[in-house]
Amino acid sequence: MPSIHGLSFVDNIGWWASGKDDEEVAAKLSAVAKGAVEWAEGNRVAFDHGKMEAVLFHHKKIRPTARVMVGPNPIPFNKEATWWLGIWLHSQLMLKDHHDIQAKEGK
Amino acid sequence: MIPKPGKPDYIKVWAYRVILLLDVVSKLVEYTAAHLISDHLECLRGLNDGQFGCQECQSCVDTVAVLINCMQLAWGQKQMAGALFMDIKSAFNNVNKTPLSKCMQALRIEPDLIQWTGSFMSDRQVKLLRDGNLDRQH
Repeated sequence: MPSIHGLSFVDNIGWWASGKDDEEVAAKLSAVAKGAVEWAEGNRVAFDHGKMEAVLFHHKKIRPTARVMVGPNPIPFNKEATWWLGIWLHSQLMLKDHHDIQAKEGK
Repeated sequence: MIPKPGKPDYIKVWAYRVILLLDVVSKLVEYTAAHLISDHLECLRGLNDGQFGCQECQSCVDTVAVLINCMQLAWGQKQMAGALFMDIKSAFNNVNKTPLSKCMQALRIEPDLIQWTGSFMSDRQVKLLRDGNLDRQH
């Protein structure tokens, strides 16, 4: 699927897409999620819906309203930092949240 | 078994992190087999380019760094970028031997290694030690 890309680390999969606004990004991610769910069904595996997370990366502070649809389940874009593969990802790609949370946990 | 923090129900086995105690020889054989399969896949470029797991010199941090770089490239094109993170449910517990074996054959992995992997996944028994008490054998 053009303009949608996948990264994975063993059983953790991250899809990413770009677009002019949150609606377009959510639509692209919904489309790839549909394909992923179909692949999973064909290969006798399932995704853990409770652990699915969506995040919108942007320069400015905005409140995205679009949602990514994974089957019947809507996944809203996270408002807070998102934990993926051991790193707290902030929507503005700053690592301050990661630093602060890890420092707090280390105390 | 070590309890994972913040789980709602510690009756469930998945509320615990399991420390697997294999004997030393088994560990060596498992490590060697995994290394041989991983080397073969790397030479053959058998894994998807986006798969960072089980590959030399590629870690979780590298995966996240690639993602961040991709997001920044999208920003450079005046685009917004988003990601969806998905996790395969109980991926290791639910591996099906038959499709795995077919997949390994398609990737031209040594028949001995395929057979060993099948054997490794067959007739496994485990004893759980929880809070110092030995549960029944599974």
